Amino acid sequence: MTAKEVECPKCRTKIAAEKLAQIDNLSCYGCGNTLSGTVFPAIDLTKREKPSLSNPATGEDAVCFYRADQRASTVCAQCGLFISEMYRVRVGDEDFCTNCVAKSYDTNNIPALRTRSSLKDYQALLWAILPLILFFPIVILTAPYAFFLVIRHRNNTGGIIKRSNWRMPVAGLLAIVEFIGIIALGIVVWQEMI
Amino acid sequence: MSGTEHTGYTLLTRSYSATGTTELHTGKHHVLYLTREFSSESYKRFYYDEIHAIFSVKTNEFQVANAISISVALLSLLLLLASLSNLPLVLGFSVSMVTGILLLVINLIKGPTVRTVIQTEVNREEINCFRRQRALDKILPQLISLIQDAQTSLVKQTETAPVTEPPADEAAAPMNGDTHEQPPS
Repeated sequence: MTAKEVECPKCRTKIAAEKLAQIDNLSCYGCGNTLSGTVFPAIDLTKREKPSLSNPATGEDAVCFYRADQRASTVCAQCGLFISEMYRVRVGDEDFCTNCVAKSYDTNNIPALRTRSSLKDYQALLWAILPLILFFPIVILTAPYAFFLVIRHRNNTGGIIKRSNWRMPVAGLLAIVEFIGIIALGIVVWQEMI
Repeated sequence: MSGTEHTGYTLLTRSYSATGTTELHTGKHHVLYLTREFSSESYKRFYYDEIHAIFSVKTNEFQVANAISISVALLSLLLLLASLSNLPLVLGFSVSMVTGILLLVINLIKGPTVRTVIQTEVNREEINCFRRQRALDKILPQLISLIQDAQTSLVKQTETAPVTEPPADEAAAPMNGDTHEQPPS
């Protein structure tokens, strides 16, 4: 697909972007379904201006950590190293060095570049509820684990989007009730046996 | 670094499916497409100045769902009329008829179905939040205005500055002896 083409989401037929921009309800050449949409100016800017990145350091300039012959232009927001334009990656309002960006794909430690998150509140709730549905006696294991998750991650539930925070207290309460319940049941069964 | 960052996103739309939830949020520089499955989230960011097109194609899921709902309702009605003397059967067919009618009404209220795609220079992503034309018509203008605002300055910059290629020696510049560490390419 070239830069100035769009693909029909249904049949993947390539359609010139300018046709889509000109005609309101365009019939797809492949499947005949009605296509509509907006084409933005960025589609025409495939060759953006590329300013020269080289900026050799002179005597008293701070130099780039990665290339000592280059003048440092900024500081990496993650590791704090001086970096030159060549090693700078701009993400939103922040600058990162190429090394931190590369590492972040494994470590997921830069929120602006994060691609996945584990949601601890959902996990705690799942561990508290699932045994009730599947096999009740294993709450002796899952309830303490759910409670541990609640305590361990009470201030940091994961994710970059603000969510409602009812899951953690509910999971904690459920875990306590389950644990007390299974202990009480164990005591009753034990007393019956003796 | 803290794991939870609430970096000023605004929820645009959300949709639920059997496999999870999808959400579309607008941020300062990008639109965030979030997919939540069980206890994990994955994110895709589309920067406003990099979006090439947003387009949709009408699908026939709406008509298919209508046909199924009507069929269920009509079949239940026929069976109901045929078994008027049997109370349990009457109750069962009444429930299935009402369910069919309810599904039909819900589908009619939600409106025609579409498939929507956001395309950038390197990516093409189907947005599951926009599965209905009505939702698309309601939400899309906000998104388009954000993208157009971001790209207005981009167009101005490009019009004033000529397209230039970086010097050939720059990209292949050798690392000198004082280099501390070479980042991964």
